[in-house]
Amino acid sequence: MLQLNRISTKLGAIYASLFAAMMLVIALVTYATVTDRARIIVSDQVVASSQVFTHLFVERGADLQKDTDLQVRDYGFRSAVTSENQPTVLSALETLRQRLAVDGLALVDNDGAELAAVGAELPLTSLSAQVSENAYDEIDHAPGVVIYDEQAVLSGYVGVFAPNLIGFVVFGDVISDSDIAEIAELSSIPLEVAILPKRDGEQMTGEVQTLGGRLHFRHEIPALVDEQPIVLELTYPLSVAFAPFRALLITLILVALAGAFIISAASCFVARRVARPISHLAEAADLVRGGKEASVSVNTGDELQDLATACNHMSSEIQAREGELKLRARRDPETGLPNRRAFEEALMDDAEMSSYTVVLAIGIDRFSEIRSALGFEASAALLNEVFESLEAHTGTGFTGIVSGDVLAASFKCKPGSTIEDCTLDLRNQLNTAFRVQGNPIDVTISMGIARLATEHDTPVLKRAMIALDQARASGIWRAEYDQNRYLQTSANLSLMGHLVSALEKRHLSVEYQPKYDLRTGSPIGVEALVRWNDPDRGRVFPDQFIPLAEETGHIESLTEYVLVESLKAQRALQEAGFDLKMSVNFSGRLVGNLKFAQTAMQHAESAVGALCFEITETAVMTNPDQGIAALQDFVDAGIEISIDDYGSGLSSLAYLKRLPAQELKIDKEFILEIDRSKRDAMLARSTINLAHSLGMKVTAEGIENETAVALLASMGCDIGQGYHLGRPMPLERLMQFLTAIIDSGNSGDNDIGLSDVG
Amino acid sequence: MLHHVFSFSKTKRFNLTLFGRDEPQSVTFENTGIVTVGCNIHDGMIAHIFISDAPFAGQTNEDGMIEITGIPAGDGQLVVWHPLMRQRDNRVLQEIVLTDSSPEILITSKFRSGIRRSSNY
Repeated sequence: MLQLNRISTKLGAIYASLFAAMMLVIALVTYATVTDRARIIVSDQVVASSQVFTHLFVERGADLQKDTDLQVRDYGFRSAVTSENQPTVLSALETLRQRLAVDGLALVDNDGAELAAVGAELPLTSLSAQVSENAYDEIDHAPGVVIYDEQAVLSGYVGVFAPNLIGFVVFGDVISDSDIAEIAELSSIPLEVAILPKRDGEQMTGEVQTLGGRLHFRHEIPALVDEQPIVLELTYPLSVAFAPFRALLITLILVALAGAFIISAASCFVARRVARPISHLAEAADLVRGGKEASVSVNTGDELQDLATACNHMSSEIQAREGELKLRARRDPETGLPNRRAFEEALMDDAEMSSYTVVLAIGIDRFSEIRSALGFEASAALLNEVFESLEAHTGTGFTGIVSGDVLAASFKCKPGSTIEDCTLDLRNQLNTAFRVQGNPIDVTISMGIARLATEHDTPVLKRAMIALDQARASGIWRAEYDQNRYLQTSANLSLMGHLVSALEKRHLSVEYQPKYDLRTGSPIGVEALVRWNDPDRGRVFPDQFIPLAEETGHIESLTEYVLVESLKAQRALQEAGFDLKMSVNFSGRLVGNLKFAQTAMQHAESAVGALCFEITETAVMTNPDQGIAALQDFVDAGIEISIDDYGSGLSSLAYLKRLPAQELKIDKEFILEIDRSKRDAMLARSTINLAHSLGMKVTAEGIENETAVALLASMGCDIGQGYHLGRPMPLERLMQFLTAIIDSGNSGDNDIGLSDVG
Repeated sequence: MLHHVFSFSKTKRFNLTLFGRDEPQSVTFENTGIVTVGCNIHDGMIAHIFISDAPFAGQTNEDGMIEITGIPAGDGQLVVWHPLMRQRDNRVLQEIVLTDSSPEILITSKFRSGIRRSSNY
């Protein structure tokens, strides 16, 4: 099939058409030259022939005239024609006619009048004037052609002298078609010959004319009658003239066609030689684009070969670079370990995955602390150590580092063992001291577990990592992926949207939990706690939305709302006669926020009683200098500082010492079971002593029963708070609650009535 | 040298075959007119015999002049003939009226060239 866009076709077509055009020009030039030449040659021949023919006429005419003259001089003839005996005259003339072998003969007198005639009739009438003229002048007239009765007649006349001129003998010989044919045969070319009267006013150009594909040549020949000039016309068909050259032209055309065919074939061949390597190169380029190695073999020894060599080099270079990139893309830059991508790919390529394959996300606990303590290089080395150990203990599985401090492993449990047993074994192997740069470093790990077999939209590694987060959030070392819990986190996002509208629509409220002086047994203050009663969701717990508000920045408006409400409540309480210290939780996230601190202090100015901000100690630990300065600002503004949830985090005595706090709240974790756990009691006691030694009052949270009240009071704990003493309640209820205490006599027996109201 | 003298003229036809200077021949002309005499051997030879019964006749000299005397006054016809005269029958006819004076009569005519073609052209 002919493909027009192929180079070979293009080149072939171009060359062939060029050649054909050239040959066409040659053919045209040749045709023009040849026909011109043929015309000239034939014209020359025609002219020559006409001269020959004319000469023939003149010669024959002269011969006849001479013979006639001689015969006329014969005495007997003269005697006969002057005999006035008509039969004698006629017979003498007939004898003469036969001797001369002419068609007609006549005797005329000096005036041209016919005296006698034999044979063919002759145009004597037209001759008479000329004859009589000659008779007077005794001048000869050369013989010539005369046309009579549409026939050309070679004719002439001679005087009859007896001895004076007594008349003329006129001879005439008809030029028949066969005579003309005979003459025509004398020519080397087949001419058509005609003898015609000269046209009126016709000029003899002496040139050959071309008319209607025929060559015409007219040439005047001697005429017998001067008034009737005669023309010899030679005609020659050009087609006949060109016939010898037609073969030449046909040969030329055939050569042109053959040449065009050969040229197009040759140029196609040459073009294919050029185009084939180009096609190979194009295929190679496609391979390279598809990321495959390509090798083109071109041995033309020209630029194409250079191109092919360059292409091959390019391909291998690209392969090498791609390999390097691939390698890099699958390596963690810090540790040089296979990264998440490499792990995922290995996981996907693993044909041996089965239902008992699990993917583990293994997080190194407190890695950021380790890294900030040891530096990046050492922590990277630690990761490598852990990785190697993990790799050694997971057998045929794959391992990789999937995030800064999380390693991943595909893990097959030993047959007969539960996942719990296997992972516990693994943890025991990994929870050890690794030697990094000669130093032992204790490592504990947490583990997220995802089963491969379970049908999930979420990829297994991601599930494992989520499971790790879930484990850490729950404060346990191991968790299996919990779909429902994860879906809850996605619900968190919409929760935030609702929080914003809750703030706007006042679905939030503030409740107040009383704080008791454990020595006097009377309430000395309240802690303001935010409550969210959503019309759709019902009651949303602070544990759910406070951390989210911190993450999303809504904590500012939330805290401000609580602060404003609390101050209003404090004023209302004072107006009702209750003078209470108002404690407001102040998020650690807001400690460094100077702008919000200003806002908070402005509100605090309107406080009608003592105001306390409860702040977790970890809030200050991240940036101690700035945090302490911020707290000092509050203290300077007359706001008390309480260290909230002491003992739940990584409590640092060094920071505790520096904090400008007036109160320390022991986390309820230590209080809830204080009546049953000696250990908790001991911790509570030492904490109380520690706080007192630092000049702080101590509040115990989570007091659930009277025993705890007594125990804590005995330990010297200053203030108590808990469901046993009073639940968080709205302002109105608080009012009633406080009024009830007063009504009950405000005795030291504070447990009576409190539970009634709570 | 011998000659073969002949005449085909209507006035007098004759044929005198080969004869020489020493053999005089005699021909009697019964009629008036012109007799042109040729030689059958010598084409170039030609002679003219003018036979007239007119009371006055003569031949001009080489200048074409002739003086004729003794012609009485009165009406008459003058005939001038010359073989090359370009006239009908090579002659001019003119009616004349003669008085007692002696008139000079001028006759004009065109003449033929008189160049005979050679027999062997």
